Amino acid sequence: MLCAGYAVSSFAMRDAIGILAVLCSEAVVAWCNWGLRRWARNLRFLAPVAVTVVGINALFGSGDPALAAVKCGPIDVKITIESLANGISMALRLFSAAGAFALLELVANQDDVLFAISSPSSRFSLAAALTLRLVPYLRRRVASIHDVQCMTSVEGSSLKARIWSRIPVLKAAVSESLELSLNLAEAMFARGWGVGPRGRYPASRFRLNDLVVVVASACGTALLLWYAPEGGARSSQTTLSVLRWTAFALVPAVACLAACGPRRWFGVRRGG
Amino acid sequence: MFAVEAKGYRYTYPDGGAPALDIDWFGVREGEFVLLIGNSGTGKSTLLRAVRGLVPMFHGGVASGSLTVLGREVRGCDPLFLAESVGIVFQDPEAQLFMTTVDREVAFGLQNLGWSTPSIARSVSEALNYLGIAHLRNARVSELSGGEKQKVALASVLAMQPRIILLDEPTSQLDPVAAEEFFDLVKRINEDLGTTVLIAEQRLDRCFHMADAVWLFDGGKVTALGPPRQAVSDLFRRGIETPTVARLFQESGYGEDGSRGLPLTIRDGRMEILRRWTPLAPAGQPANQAINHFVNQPSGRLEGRRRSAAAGDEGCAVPARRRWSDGEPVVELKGVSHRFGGVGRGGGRDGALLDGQALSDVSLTIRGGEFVAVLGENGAGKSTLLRVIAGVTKPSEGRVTVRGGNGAGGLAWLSQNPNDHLVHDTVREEIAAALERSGRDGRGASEKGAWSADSPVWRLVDRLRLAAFLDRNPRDLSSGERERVALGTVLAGSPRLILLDEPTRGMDGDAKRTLAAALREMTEGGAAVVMVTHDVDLAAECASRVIVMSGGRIVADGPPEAVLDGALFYSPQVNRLFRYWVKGIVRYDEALGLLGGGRSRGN
Repeated sequence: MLCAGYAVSSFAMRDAIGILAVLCSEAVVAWCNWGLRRWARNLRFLAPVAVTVVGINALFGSGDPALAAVKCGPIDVKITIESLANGISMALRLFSAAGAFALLELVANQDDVLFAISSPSSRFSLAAALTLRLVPYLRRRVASIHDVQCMTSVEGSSLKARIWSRIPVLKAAVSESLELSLNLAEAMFARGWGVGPRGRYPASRFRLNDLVVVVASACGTALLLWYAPEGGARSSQTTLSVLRWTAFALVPAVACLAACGPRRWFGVRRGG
Repeated sequence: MFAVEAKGYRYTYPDGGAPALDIDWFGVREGEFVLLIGNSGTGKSTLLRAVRGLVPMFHGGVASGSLTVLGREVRGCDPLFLAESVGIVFQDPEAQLFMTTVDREVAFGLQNLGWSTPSIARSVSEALNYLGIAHLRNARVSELSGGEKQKVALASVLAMQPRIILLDEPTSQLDPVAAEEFFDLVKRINEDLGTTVLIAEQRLDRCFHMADAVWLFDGGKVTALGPPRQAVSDLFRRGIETPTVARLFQESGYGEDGSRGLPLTIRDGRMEILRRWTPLAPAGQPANQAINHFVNQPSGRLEGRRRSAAAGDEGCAVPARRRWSDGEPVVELKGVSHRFGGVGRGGGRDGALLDGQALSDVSLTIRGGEFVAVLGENGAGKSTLLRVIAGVTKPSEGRVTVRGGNGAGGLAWLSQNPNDHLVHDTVREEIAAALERSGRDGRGASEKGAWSADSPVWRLVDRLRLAAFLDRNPRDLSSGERERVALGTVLAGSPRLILLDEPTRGMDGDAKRTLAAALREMTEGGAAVVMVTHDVDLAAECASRVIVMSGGRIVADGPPEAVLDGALFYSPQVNRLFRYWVKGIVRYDEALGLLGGGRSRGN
């Protein structure tokens, strides 16, 4: 719920400050779950994309007031504060939306996700479960094969040679990852996957803290969605609306802090 | 009643070809401990999968005839019944564990069977306690060592309380200590709970004597060999790998009159030695002293034979001691330490690895012509040592000097996973690419018939027994065959330093001997070999130097006679046989010479 709320908020917000507030809120939740560094690391790969987005918006956007004007042949390029702000808010939106998914990896137990998606049909859930395991394994395999290829001097000096040498590596890594997936599927099948109604383990650990976070997230998201279009249409630039949105974006973070903060501060990890 | 029975059962995989199983009759009684033996690719794993219903239900293919489990025909059987009755543990722990924590992994099967939460919790606790891994309950599966992972896999099957447990080469990736522990656990389950156990295994020394019945696989067909004592003579007659102790006594001429069964265990072997030698001792001497006097005096049998060997007597069954190489240093490590970035990486939970320290102040010089075997528990830092020498991992501290570059005449590294080396569509292309990489002319080598029969590459192909599947995709081969292909790609460039990380995993006895001979040939040509292995007997047979690692440190380094002699676990079978009586027996031929066998194995 929390992650879905953040993902929706990222797209509903229009101001850079509001989106930044969502991003900060996500960071707080990641910190509460002992994963701020991991969460930030997962977002790092977006940096070049974000820079590109800001650059394109700044160069080809419109608005006022102009900061600089350059004539490139037949095209007049005008960099304005508005286009720059637009570029920054789009880049932040990108981070914020990706951050919501990165948060999902932190707050949700993979095993619970696996069982949650396994109800509809055993074949579908088997495929979904294997997909969950495929990506990390593929990453490990590529790294491992790459080590060997580097060792055996397959990595050529030229760019072309290097690209050429990667093709069989990728092919091998993908086919081996698929093979492992098949082995995993076989092991799951052998242990009775999909033979009948499933039991629960461990017993539900849904605590009052979790309830507080879920309710706060739901309220925050609902209020945000209700206010965002109205506020945006009325006046997207007013300080008041920005403050409101920021406040709503921070509701889940505050709730999360209230619920999980003490555990975090006193060094108590979630069990299981 | 038969727990498992097959009558006229034939199975062919979906890709067609010859039947993977062609069984006239096969039967296992309830509560039996049955050992399935045979070379790689002979149908052992397929039969286990058929018993569990994975073939043809999961893999597809065509099956005919009858295969029953606890009286019910497997084809068309209720999947719930099969899941409850038959549990299977596969060879590779990585490919069968998929939950994040140990308790959830063990609970997974029970959840699928629809057990209630309290019942699951109870069974999980019991299974973990029974196997002695309760302390790992909340551990992350990815942080466990290989041995621990395999125990978790067994616990996850045991928790389901099946009446039949199938084990497909479960110890192929475990160190000797973990492998012995694992077999002991399986035997305990069999005896305590009356569970029927079918185990396919290549390492016969540790489990052969445990079995109630032995079945031999060859080309998809099975032959009943009976109880182990009966089976061992039969195997010997057929020229098939037998446990070391039994082979030793058989080759030394023991029991040729058929009056007694061959000893199968170290204990039986030692008792037989005492029985045989005590009458030879001078009157009034205790048996131990008699044996000592008999073999260790200058006029004794062993010393006499060693002197003959040193003098170049070719007829002598005991080889001369191997000398330390005085070749040029090819690798020098000085004060090398390496620490992994995250806690628990490197595969181990023991000792130093808990804090991520994979190597700790390792100093080492390896010379040309040396054959170095590196032993140690799972997670001891052996693979990291090879990676550091290969230059794949940069050490956190210290200096590594490798003389000569990669490729031809340089350094070659076979990683733990042979699949890392297999990126082409046929074995021929793999070898050709390896030749090309190493600077030797590999152009056109992928063409059929391009290799002449007397070329060094063809000799290598022939020696590693790759010729039969040169035009097959390496990924379609069995694990032992893949390992040989990967080895072929590594050795094709005739490197001067060869680093091998567990190259005998999944290999049968013949393949191991072939590998050993190929490597010895390369060391005689001046190359240095560093081989990480869990196979102590192979290390004793091949190596000129043995290094034992523990917790990232080198704890022993020297000739096999010095390092392996008297070691508690890292000692070969023949050494245990003569322990306390004769010092320095680590090789099969030495033991054979001592027992009076005139026939050398000639390897």
